[in-house]
Amino acid sequence: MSNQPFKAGLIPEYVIKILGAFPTTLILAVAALIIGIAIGACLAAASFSTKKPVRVIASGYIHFIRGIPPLVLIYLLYLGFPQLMKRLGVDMSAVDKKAYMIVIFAIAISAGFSEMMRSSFLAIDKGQTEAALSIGMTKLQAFRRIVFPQAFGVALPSLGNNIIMLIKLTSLGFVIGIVDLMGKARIIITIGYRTRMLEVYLALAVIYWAMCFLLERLNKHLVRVYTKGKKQTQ
Amino acid sequence: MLEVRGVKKSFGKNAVLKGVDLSVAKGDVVAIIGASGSGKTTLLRCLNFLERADEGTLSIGGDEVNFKSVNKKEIHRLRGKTAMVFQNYCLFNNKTVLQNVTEGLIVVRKIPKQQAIEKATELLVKVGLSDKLDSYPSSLSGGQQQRVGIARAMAQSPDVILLDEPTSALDPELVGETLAVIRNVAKEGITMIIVTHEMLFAYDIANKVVFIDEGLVVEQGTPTEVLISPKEERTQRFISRFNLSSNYSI
Ligand SMILES: Nc1ncnc2c1ncn2[C@@H]1O[C@H](COP(=O)(O)OP(=O)(O)OP(=O)(O)O)[C@@H](O)[C@H]1O
Ligand SMILES: [Mg+2]
Repeated sequence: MSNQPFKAGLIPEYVIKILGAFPTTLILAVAALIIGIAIGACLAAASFSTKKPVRVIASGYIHFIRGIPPLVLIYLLYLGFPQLMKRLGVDMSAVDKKAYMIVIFAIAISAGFSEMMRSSFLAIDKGQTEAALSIGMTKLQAFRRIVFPQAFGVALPSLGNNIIMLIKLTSLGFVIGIVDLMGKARIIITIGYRTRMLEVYLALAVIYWAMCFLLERLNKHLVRVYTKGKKQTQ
Repeated sequence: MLEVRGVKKSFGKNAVLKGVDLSVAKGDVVAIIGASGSGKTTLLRCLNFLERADEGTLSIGGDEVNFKSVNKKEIHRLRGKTAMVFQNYCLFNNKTVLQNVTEGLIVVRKIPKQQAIEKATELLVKVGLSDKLDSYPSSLSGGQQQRVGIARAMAQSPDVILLDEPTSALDPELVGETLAVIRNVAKEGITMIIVTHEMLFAYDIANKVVFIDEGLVVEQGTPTEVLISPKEERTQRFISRFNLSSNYSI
């Protein structure tokens, strides 16, 4: 590694270059978020099931996923799982890399999302559902009109945190060669003969930091708007 | 008009209702009294199907179902004939006072929004909350919340309103205003079943008092019969704790 003097002036230029990969990171995060919420919702519903085997499977899945570092999960599913499938006669080499990665990210966050939803619903007093039923609503109406909006308010702060964690998680996509923000930064470094690592990674850090900062502000704002006057007393 | 026969309900091994019979005529105000844990709340919840009784029949306005074999459709239909006022109010926290009352009218009974708002406003004026229409429940006192709960129940135009200790969660100074509202509802001739520990109130408002002990109706009759000169020993023992006859001048 050569010892070039640090040049802060290069950072803006790198920021712009790295941002060329912003759409990729955005697609990874948004798609993984949607799928992750869907899986999480199914898990949360399963954890409330009246059938014990369903509950056991859901909680087993959640504990398994939560106990694995994301990087290990990526290698396990991206490299290990296809080997298993090959033995079963299914060739997965044609699967789109990005789509596969999106599913892995979704799986990685699904456990946390499920726990978030579960605890938010548990935070809503049973009396809310009972009151809704007592005035003749169906269970579905009670959920949609009374319980869900309140649970959403409870979940909102941790939803923000979970999304921020997901965005940082997507930076691991580079390990399988996805050119997201992180991948792009590494390409820029290689092209520059690894002489500007400090500047490039600083530029990258600034980008992630700015995204998370903006999200956090947005989330705080939404929480304020959403809970305005509706704070729970019981 | 409302008739329950042989209602039984157990939670696991704990038999809470052991065959309760009760008949309520139109316009009746029935006060249910009894010691803590005797099954009063469970009985009301069974009438509203928030709890599923194990055995017995329920008939409201000639529409009879058997608890053992009742299906979803029947539950929905009979629930439409009763309305519940909860001990801890259970107002919809994500809805304003007005919306708490219009919600059932619009969503369940499919009344046009404007009409629902008019009806709800009228009811909320009646319970003395005309200045709180757009407040959220969290900003109301307990007494105000319970009055919204009563308006919400009345909006259903139910055959019977079920009230479970409507004032027991309230600060003493808020009990009076809530009882006054219930008294006005009674004056309109609306049928009510009230579980209460307020013996003077029961004496005052009810035309029928039912004493429940250990999951059975021990004694029922007019307020004077049950509260002043009860025949059963268990009733006498329960009533004596309240010193009703000596304190209340008739
Ligand atoms: N959901 C439940 N699961 C298990 N046991 C219950 C449940 N609800 C009530 N019970 C039991 O049923 C019995 C009667 O309870 P209930 O609430 O009907 O009494 P109550 O007469 O309303 O008493 P209180 O005057 O204290 O309100 C109690 O022993 C209680 O522990
Ligand atoms: Mg009770």
